[in-house]
Amino acid sequence: MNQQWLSLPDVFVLKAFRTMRDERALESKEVHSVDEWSTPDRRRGDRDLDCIPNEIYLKIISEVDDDAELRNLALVCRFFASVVLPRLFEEIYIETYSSRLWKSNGYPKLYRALREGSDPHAISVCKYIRTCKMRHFNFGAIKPPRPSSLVSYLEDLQKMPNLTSLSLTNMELSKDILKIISQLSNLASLYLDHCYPSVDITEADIIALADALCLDFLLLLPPSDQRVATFDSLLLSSQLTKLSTNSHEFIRFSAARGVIPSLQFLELGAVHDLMNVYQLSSQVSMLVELRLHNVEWPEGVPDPVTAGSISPEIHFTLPLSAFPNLRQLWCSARLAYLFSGPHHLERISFGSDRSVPSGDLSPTHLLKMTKDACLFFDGPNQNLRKLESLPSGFMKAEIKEKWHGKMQTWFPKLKTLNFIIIVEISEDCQSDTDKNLNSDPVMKIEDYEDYFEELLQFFLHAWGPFNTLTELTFDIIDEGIYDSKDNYKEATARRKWFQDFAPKLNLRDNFPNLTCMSFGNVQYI
Amino acid sequence: MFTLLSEDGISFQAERDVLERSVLLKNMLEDVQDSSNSIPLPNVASAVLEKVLHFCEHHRGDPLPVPEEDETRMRKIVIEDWDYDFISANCDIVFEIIMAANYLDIKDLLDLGCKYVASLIKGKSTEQIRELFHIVNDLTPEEEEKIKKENQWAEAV
Repeated sequence: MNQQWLSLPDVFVLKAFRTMRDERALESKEVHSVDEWSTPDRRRGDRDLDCIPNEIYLKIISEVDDDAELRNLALVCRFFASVVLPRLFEEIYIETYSSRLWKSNGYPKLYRALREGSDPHAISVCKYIRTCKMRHFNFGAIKPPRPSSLVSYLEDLQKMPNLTSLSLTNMELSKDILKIISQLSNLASLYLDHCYPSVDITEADIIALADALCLDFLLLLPPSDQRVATFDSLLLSSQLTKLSTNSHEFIRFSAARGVIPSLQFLELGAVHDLMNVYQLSSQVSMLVELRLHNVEWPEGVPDPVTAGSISPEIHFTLPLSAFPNLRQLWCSARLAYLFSGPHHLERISFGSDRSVPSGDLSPTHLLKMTKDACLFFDGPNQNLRKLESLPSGFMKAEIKEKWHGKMQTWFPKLKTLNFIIIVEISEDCQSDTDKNLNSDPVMKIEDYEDYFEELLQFFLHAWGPFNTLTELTFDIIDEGIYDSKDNYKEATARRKWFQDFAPKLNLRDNFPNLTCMSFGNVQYI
Repeated sequence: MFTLLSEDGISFQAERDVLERSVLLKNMLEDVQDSSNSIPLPNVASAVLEKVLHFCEHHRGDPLPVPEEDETRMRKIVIEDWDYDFISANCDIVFEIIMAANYLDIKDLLDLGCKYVASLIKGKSTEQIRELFHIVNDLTPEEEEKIKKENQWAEAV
């Protein structure tokens, strides 16, 4: 099991459900106890001003982030209270470091009162909670809490009548706990991250849970030790449209059952068997979005990175025509040489390459764009609107390539284009010393400016002119530093340098419809 | 050149590319070549229309903002200096400008107005926010007390 992938889904989960959350704000009527609703007329007062429509108030309130400001807004009028309170209490995080010490990160007071269960106002606030994340920090020596000690904490979930999303991390789940979860009638998303069933749990228990819930989204990341049975059977939930798990889990379930859930969204990590994943996922006829993390390159196939500008001679491809409804693909840039068109994709992101690479494969920022990138150059990318996290090698074009100077023809509807440029900057004294020992010079962002200028000139030559493009961004990623989630950090270019250089690019002539352009965090348009 | 007629009967003249910042007017003008008839805007007062046209003139020729198809890539939000000066100079009629931008469908002006108003909330008391939004308090004392109690649970300590 690859640890690095495991940290990613949180990021995804947040994004995928943002839309859903936005919709919920408008549904807040259902969960608010104030019976009468203020209308614009009632707020008008004696002022000589037309009624401000609710959607404008909603738009203004959505621009406010600060909790203290939100608490003030809640007291303005009934309508504001109905919008703001559900936002304030939308998510609760509960963490434990030992079986006795449970606390909530954001709302310690609320959580204490919730445990005691005596304060009617605290219970009343719980109706706003839509998401609960419970996590046990599993630091080696500390054993996971016994299921019997978990029961009362999970019973607290029943005080949150509108809970739609539950996330449990590092826990053993007993029959009693499954029973509690099955009674959460509004639950639509369930994330089981490193959770395993107690020994007495049978498959029938898990199927009963699948039947009791109307799950739309399931995230299943089993513990790395595969001795224990897992929650595979939850994939039988009839309403399931989104699944995030590792490829092993997906393949095992599909092989054992001979059925594949009718998903629209599929995210797979630790893809060791790409061919099998391709064949199984192409049977998910309604699949709209596919995300692949940490794909192992098929044996015997030359790696396009090391092949460089020489044709890598890949003799087989995985045609995306097998996915008639696929609109979004998220994977490594390396797969642009295996997946082939024609396709109906609207968005392609090579965001998978932004995490710290593992394994023996060369990093994809060394990739060069050649005609063998069959994902793009088997035929025009008719529906493609967004192309994101492209390696900087894709900024250049060999003059003799068939697509040189015709990018608009290959990408007739492309609006958003985003590249990743890798640098290695060291500001840390320790690593400076290390570098000096290796006699590598210490690099600063300024030292890369000639290289950036050269890359941008290449880019202009290869990609311009391009009329449909509205958003063009270049992110600089510092390979020397990565965060706790094993993602590289972004570096910032010098504003003055870019503003001096950018006019030479004649961006307006080449990209007349740009509404947004930035380079290394410097917003230019 | 086209003529707009404000709510209070004042005429304003503007060129097509200025008016086309408004999606409403852009659609109206699509099939119109003849500019002899004035376009009545019964919802916009002359003082507001003047400012709105000033904004549109400044941004004429800019590419029109496109509605995001999805929000997975967060756009960095920066208010440009000119826009900030414009909206803060007209803060006394900011709601009228927002309403006009909403009616005329001028997305960048609507966004600007809403962001500006949201920034005004910082440091204001509830009563001051009501003043700002022209809102009459319709909460009963009991409801207010209940919300205060609920709010307490959101405090970190």
